[in-house]
Amino acid sequence: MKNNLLMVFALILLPFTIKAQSTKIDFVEYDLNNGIHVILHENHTTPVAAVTLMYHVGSKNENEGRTGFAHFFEHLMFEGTQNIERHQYDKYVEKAGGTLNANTSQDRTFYYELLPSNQVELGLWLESERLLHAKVENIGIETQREVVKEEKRQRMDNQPYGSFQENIFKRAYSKHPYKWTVIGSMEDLNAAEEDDYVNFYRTFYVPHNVTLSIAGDINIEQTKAWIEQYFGSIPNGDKLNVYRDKEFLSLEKFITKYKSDIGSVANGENFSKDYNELSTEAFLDKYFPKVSEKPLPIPRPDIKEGLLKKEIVDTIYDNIQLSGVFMAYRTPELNHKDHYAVEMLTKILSDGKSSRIHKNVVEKQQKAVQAFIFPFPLEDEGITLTFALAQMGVGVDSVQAAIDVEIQKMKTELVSEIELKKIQNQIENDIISSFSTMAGIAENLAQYYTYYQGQTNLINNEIDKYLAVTPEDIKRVANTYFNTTNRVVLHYLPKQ
Amino acid sequence: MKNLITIFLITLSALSYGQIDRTKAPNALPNPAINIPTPKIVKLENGLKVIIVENHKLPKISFQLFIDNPPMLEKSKVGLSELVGDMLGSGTVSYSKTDFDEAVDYIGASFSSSGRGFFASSLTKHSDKLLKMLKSVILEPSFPEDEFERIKKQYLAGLSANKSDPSAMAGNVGNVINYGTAHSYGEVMTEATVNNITIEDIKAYFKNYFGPQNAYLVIVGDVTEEKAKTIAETYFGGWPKNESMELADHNTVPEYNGNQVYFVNKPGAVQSVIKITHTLDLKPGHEDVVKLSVLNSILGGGSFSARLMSNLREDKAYTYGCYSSIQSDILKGEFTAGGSFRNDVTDSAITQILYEIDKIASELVTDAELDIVKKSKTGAFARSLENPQTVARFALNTIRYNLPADYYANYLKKIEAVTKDDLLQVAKMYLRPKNLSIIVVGNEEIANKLSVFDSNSNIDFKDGYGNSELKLKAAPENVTAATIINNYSQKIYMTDDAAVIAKKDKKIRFISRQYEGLMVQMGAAFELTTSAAYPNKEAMQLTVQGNVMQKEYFNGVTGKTESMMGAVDFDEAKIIKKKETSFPFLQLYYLSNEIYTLNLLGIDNIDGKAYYKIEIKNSLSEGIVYEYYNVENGLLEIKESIETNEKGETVESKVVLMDYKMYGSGTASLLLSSKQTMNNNGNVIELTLKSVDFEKSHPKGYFEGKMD
Repeated sequence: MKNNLLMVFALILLPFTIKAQSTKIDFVEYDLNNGIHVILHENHTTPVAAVTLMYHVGSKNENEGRTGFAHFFEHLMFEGTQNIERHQYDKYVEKAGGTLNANTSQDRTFYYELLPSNQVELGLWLESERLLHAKVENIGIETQREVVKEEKRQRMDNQPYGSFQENIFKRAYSKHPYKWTVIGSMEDLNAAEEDDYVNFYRTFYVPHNVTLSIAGDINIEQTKAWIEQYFGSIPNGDKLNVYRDKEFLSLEKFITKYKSDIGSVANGENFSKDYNELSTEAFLDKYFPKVSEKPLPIPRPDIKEGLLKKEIVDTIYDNIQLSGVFMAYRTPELNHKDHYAVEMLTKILSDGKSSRIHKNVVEKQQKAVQAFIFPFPLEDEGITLTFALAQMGVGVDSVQAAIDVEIQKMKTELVSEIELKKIQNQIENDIISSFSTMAGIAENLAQYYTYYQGQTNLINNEIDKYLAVTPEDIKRVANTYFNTTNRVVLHYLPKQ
Repeated sequence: MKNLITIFLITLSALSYGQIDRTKAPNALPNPAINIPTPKIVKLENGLKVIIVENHKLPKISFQLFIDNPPMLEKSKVGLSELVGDMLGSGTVSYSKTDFDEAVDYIGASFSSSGRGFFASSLTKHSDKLLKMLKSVILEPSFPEDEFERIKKQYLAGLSANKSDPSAMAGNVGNVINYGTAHSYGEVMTEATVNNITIEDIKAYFKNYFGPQNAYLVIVGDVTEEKAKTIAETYFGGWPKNESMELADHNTVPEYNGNQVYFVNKPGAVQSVIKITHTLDLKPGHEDVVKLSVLNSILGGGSFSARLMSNLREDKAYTYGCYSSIQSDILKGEFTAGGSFRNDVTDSAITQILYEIDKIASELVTDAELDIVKKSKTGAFARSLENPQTVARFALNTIRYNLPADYYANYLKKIEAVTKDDLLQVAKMYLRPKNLSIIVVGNEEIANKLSVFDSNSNIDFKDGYGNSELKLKAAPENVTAATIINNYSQKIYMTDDAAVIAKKDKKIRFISRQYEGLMVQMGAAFELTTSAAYPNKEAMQLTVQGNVMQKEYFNGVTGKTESMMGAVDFDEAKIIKKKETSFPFLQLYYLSNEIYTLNLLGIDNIDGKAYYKIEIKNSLSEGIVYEYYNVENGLLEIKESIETNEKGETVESKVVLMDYKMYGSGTASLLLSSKQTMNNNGNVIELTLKSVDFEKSHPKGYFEGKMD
């Protein structure tokens, strides 16, 4: 019987989604009282839903000496919670016929459950558990520490050219935390201690640092109600800290920590009884009725390095067969007016087989087996990465020179109208294609909100920003950013 | 109505927190209906089958051409079909390569091709332009020579790059081991096979194997069935049929007894790629496919709770990921398990993977495991329908493999029906825990820990293409071929005192050895005498039960071979070789006679013993000899020779020299091997040295045949 309502909704919506053929993504968004931002997209084409949480924390929020911590922490967030036994978190999702995972970048950590649409509430419960009171035991820490080190070996250390990210970023940045990689160093992974986990969770895993984005076969009203239930009731500020401490600390430690707040009450017999028997909510209501729920400030790096002053050139010897050239130009952050022109410039150079670098350097001159240029998407000042594998018998200098010729042309000549139209068509196709899965839509919505100061609707109108870019803009950004003084060059050569 | 009330109540209760029960997972709503759309299938007059999946979710449309060729052998031209794929869209009569690329990119479309067809997609509004190009790709390809040369060069560079890619190496070796190089799945592309391919091969392949009668055009997306049919007719209706082709003959795949370990050295590796595999007979659509799919999900599926993942990652932290797969195939299916593991746990990881394979093939899985996998697979099936290509793939498989029309509609029912007993039964039937090929690509320092996993304790070293490779360690810097030979000489003389050696040389001018022999395969015993005199005289005589069967002698100038068939004089070539001084043993002249070139290859490990391996070339003959000197005692213990006989056949022989003993006494004595095994192209002879005579001179006429 419960199915009826969903069926009715499906019937009403179905004709619209087919007839309209619209690629507009409709969504509703709002804030919960505790600061969690919610974005919902209703789409009944398939009976699935993506429940996602984007935490605005990544490797750029790490401290030096603890590189790789944000990603390591993400691994630990699957260990369990106050109400979910170790190694059971993922099983709930599988039993529901869903799948789950997470990933960490320099700027954010993204968790998701892809579920049959009748299991949305389960996803909300699981994610609310993670935010409210994730539980990390020593055995989990030690196991995941080794797993993450294996991940580093598999993705970086044992891969040809796998060290390029580390080598590029540590030269392209001198102060900003982007100078280290998301995976971090083995040494720092080994150094992480219990205090680090507690502090990281307290600082960054808080309601006002989260965007909850759901896309799929959902009923908006019902979903809102569930969200209010599971997430709206999560405290914030000092209250959240007390809440977590009440659940995780022993009575003695709790008393020591909150002596000044609770005073002599702590000595009474009732207090220890209440500590052990009352629900956390009831305990807080009784002993901490006035504790602040005001969100605590979240530290974020505020470092502007500006353009590089001098070209940095280095050679790396690696277990590889073909030499490689990796270059990085300092380019603006994602939410900067020049970003769109920079991205268009890189597309002209290397998006598609007719693009200039591919056509000239790879096909006509046959100097490289592959060659690409693309902006590395970052919330703070970013880089644009160039990557070329030399054809056998071709020197790295020759490959680099061939790419430089193409970049130089962008500075001196305006791109043609036809080339511009081509790039615009490619972008239109890319944007529409990114709407093909609910997971993709949910992530895009959350990302626009998080990186672009709340401009969620960029999912629908970002294309206008691309269309507004003129050939003159492209030439201008070529001259502003794509200079030899503003770049790092790495030559990868085979060992021996 | 009930539902509306429920929502109302939930909304109310949410107003104050503390009333929800966080300790339990919420209940699910009733399962949503899973609806698999039925694709439209039409056949054009030229035989092209068109599969149409209408889906208007996005204003996009895709066209896939799939040529359903049976697997075929490419022999000396491995890579041919792949190269044909890259040549599609690299120039047609109407579009130069540059024009084609421009046209695809201009409409923001995508195009990729392979030896089995192409896949292209665009926004619906650009589809007419795209179709015009696709028609040209198939109906009028021009195969320009310069593009061919360019792509070939790209392939060669790619092959070079693969030499540092451990997964590519493990893949090659796995294919060679599982299928053998005479099977199309075991053929490995190398620089040589790519260089063998010509533009004529490309054209012939396209002509022979690209025809509409064994092809499918799959149209998916924002198009009506009627329109899609018209599209197929308009653009591909004129594609002429070609000769139909036959299924290539495939040899049976190799079978192995016991577990085999194969090792590929990747210098500097910090992880080992492990691939544990065997072939199996499992055709697509067979009733066991679903059961084995459930079995594999429990053993090594993608979830954290699958056994391999749970054991090797979540419990032991050996790896970032460990998985298995069971593939059905029209020729031969495959089981594979493995992942990447840090060097120092490589052997422990193999132990655990073998344990899990063995366990699932001998014990029932638990109810909980079966339950979670069934639910998870049901959900995954439903999620896969989010992509409209899935429905197209179902339709394509249904036709290609001749599956029942309701195969996919009933898929979930089949999953639901699987029992624990079913799983144990198929595990026992298909998995071979005692006949596994264990392939490891990693740092050579870990290789010596792996022989315990091999049923013969013998690791086969392979290169990245699956060829056998003799893996030698470098000899210490102060050891050279000369020091090894000099040391050996001193051992044979049993002294390092040059004066004593000179004395011995004066005393010993003739040596005669009497052997007892056995031809192992025939079980025939014989006696053998071999004699030699300074500087180059030689004779030998073979007797069976007192009857002389064969004798051969050389007096320094001429020689003869006598047998029951008569006597034959040595030819000139043989005389030239025999003339070289070789008394009292050949090795004594390796360093002084310039016809010999010695090359110390390194230290080889054979049956647990370390040997210096020396390659000896003789300028008088084509063959190569390898001598193995025991690192510990300095003695020559193995001698291999590879020669080409008069018929042009390669003749390999191997002599193992055992149990060195002192023969003779005083200055008339040498250290000689008392037991020898000779293997001459598979014929094995065992010799036991019974006695040795040392004399100052030889009997008259001895080397003219008077040996008695």
